[in-house]
Amino acid sequence: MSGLTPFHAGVLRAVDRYGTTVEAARQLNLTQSAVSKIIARSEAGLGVVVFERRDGRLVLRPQARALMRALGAVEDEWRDLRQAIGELRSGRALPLRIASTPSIGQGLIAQALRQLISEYPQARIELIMGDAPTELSQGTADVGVMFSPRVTDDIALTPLAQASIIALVRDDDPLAQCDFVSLTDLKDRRLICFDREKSPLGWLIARAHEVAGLDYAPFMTVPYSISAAHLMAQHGDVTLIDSLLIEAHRFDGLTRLPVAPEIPITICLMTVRSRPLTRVAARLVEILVRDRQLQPTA
Amino acid sequence: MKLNALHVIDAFVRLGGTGEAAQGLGVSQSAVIKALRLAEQDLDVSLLATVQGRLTPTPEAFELTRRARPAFNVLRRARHEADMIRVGMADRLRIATVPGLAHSILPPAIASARLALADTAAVEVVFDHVRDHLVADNVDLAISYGPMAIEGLLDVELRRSSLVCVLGREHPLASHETLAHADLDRQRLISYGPDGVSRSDSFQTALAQTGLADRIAITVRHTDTACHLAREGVGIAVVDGFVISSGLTEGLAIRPIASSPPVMAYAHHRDRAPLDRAARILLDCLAEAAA
Repeated sequence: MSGLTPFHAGVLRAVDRYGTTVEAARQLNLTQSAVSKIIARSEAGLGVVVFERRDGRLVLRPQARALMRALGAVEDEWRDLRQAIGELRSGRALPLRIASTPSIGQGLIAQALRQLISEYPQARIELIMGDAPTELSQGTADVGVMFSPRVTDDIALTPLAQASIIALVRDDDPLAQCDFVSLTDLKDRRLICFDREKSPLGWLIARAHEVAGLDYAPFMTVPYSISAAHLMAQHGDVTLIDSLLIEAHRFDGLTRLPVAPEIPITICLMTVRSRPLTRVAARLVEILVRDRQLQPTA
Repeated sequence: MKLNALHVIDAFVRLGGTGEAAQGLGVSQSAVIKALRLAEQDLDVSLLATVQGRLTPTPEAFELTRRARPAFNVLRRARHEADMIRVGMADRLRIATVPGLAHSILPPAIASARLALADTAAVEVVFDHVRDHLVADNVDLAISYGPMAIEGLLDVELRRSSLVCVLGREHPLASHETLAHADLDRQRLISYGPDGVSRSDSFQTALAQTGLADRIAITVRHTDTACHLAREGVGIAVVDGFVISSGLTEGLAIRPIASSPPVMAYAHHRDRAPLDRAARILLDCLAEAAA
């Protein structure tokens, strides 16, 4: 709109409010001549005379009352827009949505978030515990972090860290005295573990059983490592979970045992190739990728 | 925050790329990219990212554009007000209406009001976004098919009618005095979509209660379009009975729908500020015609 900018609207409103260019200039921290020039330029651009000069004062013409109300709306809306830009800058306007599992969320991501919120203290963050590839594909997550996921072509995978499958047994279990266990040691135990179809870890563990010539038949399947750990209620119960959970969590009464031969797992960062990230999401990715080099493999 | 920069961001988001934005704005692509980069620095907000080799708007750019829309609208509104002053219509009577009522109850009321005002009042009629226009003080009066039930707005019931069918006089159903739901089986029906502004849209409620809401094959916005299609033999228009008082149905048969629930026309105005004289007279004309 030639001749009228939001700034000019604010100046015209101030002149209407204070009645003189001198007072308007004082309120707006401008010179009186700048205010006079803006009035002249705005009136020329709009093609109408807004003020009458009467007794040294500028008086709004009756015909321009509706215009002045409209300029008031301009002032209000542009003030709101400036606030909205501040919210975008701080990360408050668009939440950073991270899809992950509890053990990754409480370990790797929690560490990255600690740094992120020191840079963006007002950022809104949503940690989604769900299937990260699905959440990304549906556009309900910006970033996913997951163990060895199976993904579509549109999702870019960046390996972040290595971990491994470990066994958890109760402290009163004879196996707790061992330095490590094999899958054969666990074959007669009540196994709480992941579904081979629904979970990438379940698929890896099932394949390790097949390689060892064993059936993979957990008596209870769970979606997350933390659920498995909490369900170790009876003598003889054992679970196979990711080693990250034990790094992030302490479980009293349970003993962690390495599994031999090792079942390695890869923690991958996932982003959608065709969708740009917000600045806050891009920063989280930077932090995660940079920390990957610092993170010792489990 | 520069206005020109916001126009460039808006074009970039709306058109989906820097080349498209350049074409839309009539400037070079490099000028668009430079403006976007400068805006990124000025606002300290990420606006564009390279995705699969192409500069693409970021989520922040989309959100900024969405949030800027009302700001652009009020700037356009201010320019419109200046235009109105320039053409001598600063003191005009401003009315917003849903399209369904625009050509039935409104024109005769405006004609009466202008007579009462000795033809001195200029009138501006706007369609759509009735509630938004009224709340934003862009109009003095509004009419729709139901109460808005919003604090600060008064709803005034104007008149009631029933659903009617408008059809060609040669149509076999034109020989019926009234038409029942069963008569309309296998007929192509023409009517309005929801007005989207009333808390309860009495026209759509009547359509639903008559069992015709799912039977509409052609949706139109204006009564005259519905009547014109009926005249051309495209189908049967199902409209409100207010249309009878208009000249739109000339040469057409109008048949009431049996057991039609009432369709109500409402006027709305702001509660806090008194209506000015012209708006008060128009409201009286709308109500008098109803009486």
